Amino acid sequence: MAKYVLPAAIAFLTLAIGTASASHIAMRNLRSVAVEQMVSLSAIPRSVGEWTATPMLIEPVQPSLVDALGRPVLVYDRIETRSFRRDDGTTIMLMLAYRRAQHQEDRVHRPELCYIAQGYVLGDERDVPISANGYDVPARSFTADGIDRREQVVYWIRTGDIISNDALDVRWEIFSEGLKGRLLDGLLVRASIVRPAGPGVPAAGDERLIREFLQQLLTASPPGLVKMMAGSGSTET
Amino acid sequence: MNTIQGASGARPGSPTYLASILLIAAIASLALPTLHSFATVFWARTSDTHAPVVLAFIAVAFWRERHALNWSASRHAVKSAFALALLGAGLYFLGRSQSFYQLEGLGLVVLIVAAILLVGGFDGLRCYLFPCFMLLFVIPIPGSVADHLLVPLKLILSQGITDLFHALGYPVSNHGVILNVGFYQLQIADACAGLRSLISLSAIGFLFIYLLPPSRGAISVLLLLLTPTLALSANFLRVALLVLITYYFGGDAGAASHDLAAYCEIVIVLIFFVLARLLLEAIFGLPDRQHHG
Repeated sequence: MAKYVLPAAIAFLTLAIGTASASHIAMRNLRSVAVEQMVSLSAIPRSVGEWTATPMLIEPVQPSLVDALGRPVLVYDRIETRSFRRDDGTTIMLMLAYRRAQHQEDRVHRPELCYIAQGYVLGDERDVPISANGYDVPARSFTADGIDRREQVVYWIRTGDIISNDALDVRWEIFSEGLKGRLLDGLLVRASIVRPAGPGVPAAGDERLIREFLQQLLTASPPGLVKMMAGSGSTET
Repeated sequence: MNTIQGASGARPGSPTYLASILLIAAIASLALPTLHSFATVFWARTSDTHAPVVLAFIAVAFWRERHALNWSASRHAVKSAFALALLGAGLYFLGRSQSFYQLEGLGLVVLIVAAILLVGGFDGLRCYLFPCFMLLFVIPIPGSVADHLLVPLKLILSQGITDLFHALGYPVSNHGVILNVGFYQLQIADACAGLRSLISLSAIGFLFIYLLPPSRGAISVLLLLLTPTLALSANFLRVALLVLITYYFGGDAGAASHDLAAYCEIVIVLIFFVLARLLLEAIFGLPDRQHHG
């Protein structure tokens, strides 16, 4: 009866150690692939259509998530923020949050979660597709009501060469590219208009203003930054 | 014939003793890296202190069934065990190499099942079905899934807490998931409105019933149905406790007692459980078997 005991145990141990080592080697062998150099993020133009860069006057909602004790749980490699102003005083905030390594868990996070975690109440969440410069970007839009402000937000997230709002799509892209040994990068493009909180605030047109701004940004930016924001061109949605 | 020669009863130096050590080493070489990932990516980050407690309960269940691990597998069981082990190894490899933690965890559970099948045969595996099933509760749910389910739960929780303390005359108000307690702000973080902790607490409830079975099946079913409710109530009490600590002792005390509150929650759940069980036993129980069994 006990004849199988030692050979079986040795075979099992061999399988286990082989699996553990192979997994470790495959994990180490992932090559980071970025669609463009990180430095291209700072090439945001100073003027976009009728909008001109101005100093930031309002603290933007941070894209990082923090835990209950305020420790960051998601770290970006580079964050660029800009403020753009139009003649009538309307101001758009632009934030590009870049993360070099996109993993199943550690990847660029939907901004909804950052706003909710920082006490905002969200509303009017919907798809707002943006077409510009040969790209069809499936952007999302929502409003965020804070203690002292109401913010209209439009955003999208690029993961490798795809932009998708479906977490499963994104996970599959990261997984299938990972099997080819490619570790994708990711970028959050977020633009918003901040208005004071309170009733009777005219915000209905803000979402359209931001979409037009982002369209112009995709057209007016240098090629490197465009690639960084929207991918190499073959956008699957 | 086999119970005498259980894994625990094997003499040092005997083939079964050696083989058991080799198998434990095999599982450890896979499980330790996985546990390290789970701990750093999920448990530490979301202050999820429950999952290790569930693991401890599962360890007790594993130890209790050790008599079934008697190296008595049939030829067929051994073949099935290696087929399962290959499947598990494949899942583990895909999961771990791609940081797909759920796949990795599933692969590890399959490998553990394979090891038990190899040692205990199909009879042994039957004894381990429930403890192995419970292992699935230790696998963290993906962040994007958790977030979807968590947000409404967090909003309900913070509103409920606000309403309760407001009614009691405390200066508590909320804006979304941020609670204002006097001069202090509390954030209902993922850990607090714990969907993850809800799963872990439910698992602890299941294991509690498994390790100390009630005298009648109906009581077990009632307790199982009660488990999520008890877990949710404990969650509510935990946040209420944090609000009170913050109100009376300040924000730093609230933050410092955060992890402590998580452990309190487990104790609260167990107390709830014992009380609910005593009550059910008193009403529906079989007094005789309770005394002797």
